[in-house]
Amino acid sequence: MTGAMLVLCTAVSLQTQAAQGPWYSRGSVEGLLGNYSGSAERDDWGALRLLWQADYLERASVFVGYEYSHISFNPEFLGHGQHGRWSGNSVNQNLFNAGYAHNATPDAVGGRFGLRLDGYVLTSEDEAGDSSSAWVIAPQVSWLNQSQSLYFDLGYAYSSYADDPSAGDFDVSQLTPTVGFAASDDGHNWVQLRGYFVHSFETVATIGRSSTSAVEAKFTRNSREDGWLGIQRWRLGALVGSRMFAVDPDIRTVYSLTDEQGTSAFAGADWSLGESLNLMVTVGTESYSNAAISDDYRSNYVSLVLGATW
Amino acid sequence: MKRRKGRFGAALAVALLLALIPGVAGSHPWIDSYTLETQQRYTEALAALEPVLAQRPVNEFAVMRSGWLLYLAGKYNESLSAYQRALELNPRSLDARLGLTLPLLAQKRWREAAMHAQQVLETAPWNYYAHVRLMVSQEGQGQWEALARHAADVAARYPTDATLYVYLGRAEAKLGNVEKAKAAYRAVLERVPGHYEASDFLATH
Repeated sequence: MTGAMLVLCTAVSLQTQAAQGPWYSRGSVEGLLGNYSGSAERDDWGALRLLWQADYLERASVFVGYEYSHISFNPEFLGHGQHGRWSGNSVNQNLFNAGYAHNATPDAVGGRFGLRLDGYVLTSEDEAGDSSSAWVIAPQVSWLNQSQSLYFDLGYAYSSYADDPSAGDFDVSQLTPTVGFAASDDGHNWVQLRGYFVHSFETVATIGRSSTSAVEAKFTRNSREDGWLGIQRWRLGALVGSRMFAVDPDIRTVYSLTDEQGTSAFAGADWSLGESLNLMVTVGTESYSNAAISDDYRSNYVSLVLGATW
Repeated sequence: MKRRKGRFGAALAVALLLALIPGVAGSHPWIDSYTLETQQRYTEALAALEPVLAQRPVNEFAVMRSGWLLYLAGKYNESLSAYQRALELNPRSLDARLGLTLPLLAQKRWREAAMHAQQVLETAPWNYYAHVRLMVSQEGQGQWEALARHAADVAARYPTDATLYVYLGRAEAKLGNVEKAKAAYRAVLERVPGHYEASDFLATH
């Protein structure tokens, strides 16, 4: 089951929005399936994500999310089941997250300041009964200028893992400085650059390295009118460098079951299916390396998101 | 000399007339405030009103005007507070609720501005300003289908108004309805010949 890609990712985003009143809520359901190409140890993976967000006007937001993910291992891999590795043929993970964001618009500086605090709780368990857990606390401060053409944020995440089969108990911290800016006068093109600087307090978890660093670039193009095939938004992204145990504040997920991530890229397109529906498709590939067993591989995926508003 | 006497007499007559108007007698804060506003000296225009704002009972109109001047001065949060204060003084005031939308739109707080505009429309369903400010909010949120419907609906009530056709044109263009957008922009040019956005769209489509 290695090699060729088998990827199907579906996501259904359900969005509700009050016509009047201060509360706006939206929810999403997202399913993912992916495949590991060139991996001796891993076969494929899948995930299901549920997210719900309620905004009080533009002033504050609360978030609640759940993600179930599943990784299948190659049962014929010689190192599989050895000490320090997952014993079963697959690992299931449950990730719960909740967050709160508060916005302020001080006249003295202009623009919008945001304070956000996310928390995550993870549990992982394989077929053989081995289990591990982790929690993450991730604050973020952000600023968007008055004309909404420039954005900064600084995020921090402290992750604490327990009973990891490879590394036992260990803690990781992450700093994510981010800048975003309009790449055209009409505001239809947007670029975001985010640095991922991860520090490991116990290097056994990060294969002897005390830190990893990566830069992620995202480009979004919003069409002024319906473009090719009716596409309204294009998304492109790439990551260079390396990162481990990253926490992604945009998609609210924790990369806890991955090895060292290297060069990665994705491309996506969004459609509006009327006033209350939208469709998002993303394809991506991510490179990973497990230095302990010299396993270099790629994770390939396709994402399909259907959203609804009513 | 005779002409100078005439001017002095006219000024004196205005001052005497103003002195007879309740709330203006004994000072010229309103004249000063309006004059300074025309000179875009908004903070000073507000300062000129301070004697009136200090009066008790509270002068509702002075509070409203302070909200306007604070908005013009870019002090949006203080402007919001002033309009909120005016609304507390007179909960039936549509002016105060519409006033709230101005600093909110300036801060790009689209939803909150829309909420207040919709509250005005509950009382005054075809209030022009409430509709236009709701359209600004819809545009800011990218609600193009709703904006197109809304602009067309209000344009039917105010068919001489160019602004509504501009919003209709923008929404139809965003939705990819080029012919409908062109029709709307042509209507804009009939009302405001030389309108830049309409001319530009029609020249490029």
